[in-house]
Amino acid sequence: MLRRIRLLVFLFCVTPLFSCSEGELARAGGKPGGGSKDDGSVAEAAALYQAQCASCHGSLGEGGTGPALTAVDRELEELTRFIDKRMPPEDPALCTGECPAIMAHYILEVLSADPNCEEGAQPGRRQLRLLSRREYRATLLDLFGFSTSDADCGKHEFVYAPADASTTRVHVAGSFNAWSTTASPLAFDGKSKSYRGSFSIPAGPQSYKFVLNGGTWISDPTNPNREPDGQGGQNSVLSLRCGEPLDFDPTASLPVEARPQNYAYDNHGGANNVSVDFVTEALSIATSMVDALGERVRKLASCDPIADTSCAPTFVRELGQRTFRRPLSDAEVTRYSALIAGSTDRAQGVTLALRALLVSPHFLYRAELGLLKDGGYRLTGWEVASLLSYTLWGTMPDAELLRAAGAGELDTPAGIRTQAERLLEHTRSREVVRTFAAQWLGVDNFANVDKNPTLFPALTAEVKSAMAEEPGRLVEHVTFNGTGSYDELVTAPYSMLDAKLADFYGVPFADASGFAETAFPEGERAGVLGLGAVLGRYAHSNQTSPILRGLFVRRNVLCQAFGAPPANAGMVPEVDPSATTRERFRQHTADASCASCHNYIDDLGFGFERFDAVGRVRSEENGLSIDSLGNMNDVEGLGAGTDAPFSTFAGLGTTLAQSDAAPNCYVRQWFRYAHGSLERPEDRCTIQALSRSFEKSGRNLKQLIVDVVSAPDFVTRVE
Amino acid sequence: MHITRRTLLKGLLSSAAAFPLAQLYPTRARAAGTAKRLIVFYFPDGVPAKTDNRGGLWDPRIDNGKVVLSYLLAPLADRAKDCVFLRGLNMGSTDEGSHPGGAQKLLTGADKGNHISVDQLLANGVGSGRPYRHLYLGVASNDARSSDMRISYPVAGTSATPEDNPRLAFSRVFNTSFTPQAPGSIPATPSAPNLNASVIDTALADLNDLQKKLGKTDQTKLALHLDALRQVEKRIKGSFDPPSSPVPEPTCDEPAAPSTDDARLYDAAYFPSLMTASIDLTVQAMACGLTQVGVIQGSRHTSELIMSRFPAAETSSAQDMRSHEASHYGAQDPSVNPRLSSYIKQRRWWVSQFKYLLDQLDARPEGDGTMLDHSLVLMCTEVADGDSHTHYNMPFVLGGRAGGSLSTGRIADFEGRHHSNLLLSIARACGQSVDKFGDRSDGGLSGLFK
Repeated sequence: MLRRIRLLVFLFCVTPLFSCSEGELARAGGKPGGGSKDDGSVAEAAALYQAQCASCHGSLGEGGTGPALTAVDRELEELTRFIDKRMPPEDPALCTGECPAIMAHYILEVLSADPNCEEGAQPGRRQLRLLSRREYRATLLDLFGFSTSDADCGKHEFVYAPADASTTRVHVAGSFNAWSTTASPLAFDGKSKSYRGSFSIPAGPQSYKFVLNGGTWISDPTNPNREPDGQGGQNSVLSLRCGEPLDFDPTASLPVEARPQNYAYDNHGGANNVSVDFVTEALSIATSMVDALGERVRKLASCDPIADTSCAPTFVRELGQRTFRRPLSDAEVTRYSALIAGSTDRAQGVTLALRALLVSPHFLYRAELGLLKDGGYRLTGWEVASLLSYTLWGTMPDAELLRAAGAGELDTPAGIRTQAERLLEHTRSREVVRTFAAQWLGVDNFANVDKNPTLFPALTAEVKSAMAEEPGRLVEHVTFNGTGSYDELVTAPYSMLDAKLADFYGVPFADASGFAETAFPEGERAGVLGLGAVLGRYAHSNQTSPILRGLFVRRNVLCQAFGAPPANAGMVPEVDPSATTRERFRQHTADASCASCHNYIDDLGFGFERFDAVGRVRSEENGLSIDSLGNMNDVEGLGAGTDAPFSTFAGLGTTLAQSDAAPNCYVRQWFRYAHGSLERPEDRCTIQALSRSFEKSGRNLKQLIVDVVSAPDFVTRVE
Repeated sequence: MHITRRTLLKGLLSSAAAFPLAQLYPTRARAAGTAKRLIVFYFPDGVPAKTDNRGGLWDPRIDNGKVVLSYLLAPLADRAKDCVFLRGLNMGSTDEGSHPGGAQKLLTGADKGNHISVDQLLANGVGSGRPYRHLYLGVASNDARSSDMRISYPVAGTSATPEDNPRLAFSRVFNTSFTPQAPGSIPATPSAPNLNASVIDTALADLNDLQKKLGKTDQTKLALHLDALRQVEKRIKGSFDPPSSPVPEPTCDEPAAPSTDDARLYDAAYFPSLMTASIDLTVQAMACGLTQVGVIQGSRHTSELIMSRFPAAETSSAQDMRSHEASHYGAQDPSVNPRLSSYIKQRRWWVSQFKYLLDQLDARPEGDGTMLDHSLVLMCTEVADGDSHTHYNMPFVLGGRAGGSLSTGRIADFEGRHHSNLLLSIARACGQSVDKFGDRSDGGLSGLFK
C-alpha cells in the first residue's frame, strides 16, 4: 500500500496537466486511494502508457512484441534510466523529462503489483459520449416514430392464456385479415402455457377478437383497449406505432467519426468532438426532421401544443424527457417553454422548441457523469438507461427502460441485468451485434475496398455488398440462432450467404430468399476466418497478403499487441507469375532482423493462401500448386514457444477454440465497444472476471454481453 | 446570454488548467504586406529523396541565377517563378522513420500533434472574421477511418475531421440562400436568422449548465463545442468582423455546386475529379471572402490509393500500384525499378495538382494583381524520403507572393533548422502575431519573408 501512496503523490505532482499546491499535496498524501483526483492522476499515467507503450506491451500490460510488464522486478531508478535511454525503442526521445519516471512507477506499482480484485476495479473516467452517426440516426427515428426499414414494424405477437384445458384451438380474427376465423392460428407454447402467434398488422387502429375452438368469439383479455362491436359485445383494438417512412437519411451529412489507432469501433468516447461542421449539420438535421413531422407535431405529447395554449410546459416536459433521456429540470422546462410562449406564431414556437431540443448538448451527448458516491461517481438511473440502450440497441431508451430508470430499478446490478436480458431479446440487439461484428473484424468499410476489376470481374457490386453483409449475419446467427457459443464463431462449417454470394464462392445454395445458412465443403472455411470480406479486406487489390491476414488473426481475433512496423516495411513483393505468393513473401522469415516479428505473422498468414484476394478458394496460383500449410504458433501469447500447424481452416479454428486467448480477446472486444475506449491495465480484474464467467457459461455469447453491461464498474466513474 | 465567448472560455479554462486551449484564441494583428490567405496542399508518402539522391530527383537547382526544376517538379514548369523551394528544413529527430509521426508534426511543429496546427491558429486568429473560419477538405482521406491520419489540429492532441464530400462542403460554405456580393463585401444571408439564433442561445445555456457539472472532465470537448456554436452563431447573425485590408476582395462569381458523384468518393479512378472539385471549391470560397484558411488533404499517409487507376494520367497502368507501395522503391535506378518509376510519376501528378491550384488563384484578379499575389500556399507531405521515412530536408514548397512579402522564383536553404520555424514564419506572414510555435521554433526563418 505504501508504494501505491507514493505513486499517487508522485503522479499528482509531476504530471504537468495538474497544478500542484501544497494543500493539494497534503490531501493527496493524506487520503490515498479514495480521492477522485488521485484516480485521475493514475488515469493520466495510464493514458501515457496507452499512447506510448501499449502497442508493443499490450493494452493490459500482458505483453506482445514487447515483453509482459506484469511481473517486472527491477529497482525504480534502474528502470527509469532504462526507459529514458531505450523506450519506446523506435524513438526514446518520445519519452523524456518526467515521462520515464512516471512510466517506471506505473509499471512497478500498478502493472506489476498483484491486482487486488477484491477491492474492485478502477473505474473509467466520467465522460460525455457524442452520438455516432448510427446512434444519432436511430435516435431521431425512434424519437419521432419514423422508420426507414420495416424489419419488424407491423408485427404483433398475440398471446392467449386459456383458463382451462377446454380450449384446444385459438385463432385471431380482425380487420387485418378480413375477420377470417382460420387465417391466423395461434400455436400452443407449453412453457408459458399459452397460445401465441405473430402476424403482420398494418399501421393504424385495427379491431380483432380471439376465436376459440372455431366458434367462441372473445375479446383479448390482456388488452384494455376496446370498442363496441355493434352486436352488444366488444372488439379489442390495437394500434401499432408503425413508423411513418422517412425518405431520407437525416444523418448522411454528418462528419465521420474519429477512431484512434487500434480502436475499431465508431463510438469512441474521448475522440469524438463537436466541430463547426457538426453544429451546422445538427441545425439542418433538426430543421428537416421537424419539417418531416408536419402536423404530427400535435400528437407528440399528451396535449396539442399548437391548439392548447397551456400545453407548452407539458409538451416540453414530455418531449424533453425522451430527447434528453432524463427528466428536465424546472429551469430547463422554463427555458424551452419560453421558446413557445415567446413566439407570436405558436406553430413556429413549437418548431423552435423542438429544434432547440435536437441541437442541445443534452441530446447530442450521452452523459456518463454520475453523482458522487463513496468518493467516486455512480451513474444515475437515467444515464444507465442510455448506456444500456445505446450499447445493446444502438438507440435511445424505450419507454420501459425509462420507466425502470424512473422507478430506481437501474440502481442495482440485478435490475440492470433484467433490463439487459430483455433488450437482448429484441431484434434491435441483433442489429447491434451485426454492427459490432463488422467493426470488430475491420470490414465495416468493405464497400471502399478496391479490387482490380480486370483480375476479379466476378466481384460485382452486388457480390461485394453481400460480402459486406455476411460477417454481421454470421455472428448474429451464431449468437442468437446457433449454439450461441464462441467456439462456433471460429469453427462454424457454414456461413450466412445469399444466392449471389454462394455462386461466387462456388457452393450450392438452398432454395431460399435472402441470406440463409449455407454449408461449405468439409474443412474449407471456419466461421469468421473464412469470411469473404475478411479474406478480401486483408489482401491487396491484385494479390493476397499473408502479412495482413496473419496480423488480422493476431490483432483482431487474439488481441495480441504488435508494435508499429519498421521503416522499411511496406515492401510488398511484386507480383511475379513465376513464383507463388508464399515463395515471394518468404524472405521475411529468412532474414533474422525481420523474423523476430514475422515469425508470428507469415507462417500464420501462409495458411490462408488457399484463398485468393477476393476470398474465393483456389487450388493453384499461376499454374503453380499452393502450399497452404500454416502455423498458429504461440496462440496464447508471443514468445510462448508453442506450435499448432494447420492445413485447413477447420484446424486453425479448432486451435483458436481450444485456446484461452481467443475467447478472452472476444471479451476484450466487447469491453471496448461497450466502454467506448480501449481496456486499460486497471481493467484487468474486470476482464478476468468477465472471462471466468464466459468460460463458466460455455462461452455463451449473449451471456457475455449481459455480463459486460452488468459488471459493477460499468456504471461507476472517477473524475 | 450576456456572456462573451472570451469570458465563458475563461471560465472553462480556469477550472481546467488545461493549456492547449490557451492557444485557441491568439491575438489578432494585421499589417499591410501580409498574405490574405493560407492554403495547405498535402499529399502522402513523401518523395524519392534519399540523401545520395540529393539534388537529383526532387531538389531544384540554380543555373545562371535561374531556378532549374528537377524532373519531379517539372510539372510546375512556368510556375517556378511563383514559388520558393525550401531546403534543409528538418522535422526533428523525434519519431524519425514514421509516417504517423510525420503527419502529426507536419502542421503542428510538435511531436504527437501536441500543439494547435498553424492553419487552425490562423483560423482562430486573423481568419476568425470570416464566415467559414476553416475549410478542411479531404480527397478520399477518410478511407482508413483512423483519426491519427489527419494533419489539422484545432487543439493540441486532437485532430479535426476533413470533409471528403465536395458537395457537402459546398453546401456548408455557401449556404443555400447565398447570393454573390459586390467585391469587398462579405456575403452572409442565412435563412430564418432569428429561429436559428434562439436555438443556438438555448444550446449555449444548456452547455453552460453541463460545464458546471463536469469538474475537469472533458473540458476540451466542451470548449470545442462552445467554440463551434459561437462560430455558427456569428455566421447566422452575420456579425463578421472581416479584416480591413488595403486590398479589395477579389471577384466572387456565382458559386457552382460541385457535380461530384457521392457514390464514388473512394473510387481511385474518380480521385482526380474529386481533387479538381476540392481545389475549385477552395479557391471559390476564398474568392468570395468566405474563408481565408484552407487545407486540402489528398488521401492520407501510408496511402492505399491506387494511382495507376487514374484515367488518362501519366500514372495510369494496368498493373495496380498504390501510393505507399510505390514509395518503398528500394533501389535507385528507375530504369530497372518499376516501383520507383511509378513513384516518380505519382509525385509528378501531385505536383501538377499543386500547379493547378496556383493557376486557379492566378486566374482571379485581386487588387492590382491576382489572388496568387495575395495568397500563401504550402505544399507538403509527411516524410521526406518515402522509402526510408526520413524527416530531414523536407520537400516543402511555398507558392504565391503573400501580399508582396514573399520574393518568389528562388531556392531558400535553411540548413538544419526545425520546420516549426517555417510554421512560425507562415503564421507571421499571414499577419498573426506569434513568438513561438510548436516544440522547437527558435525565431522563425529570417530572410524567407520580407
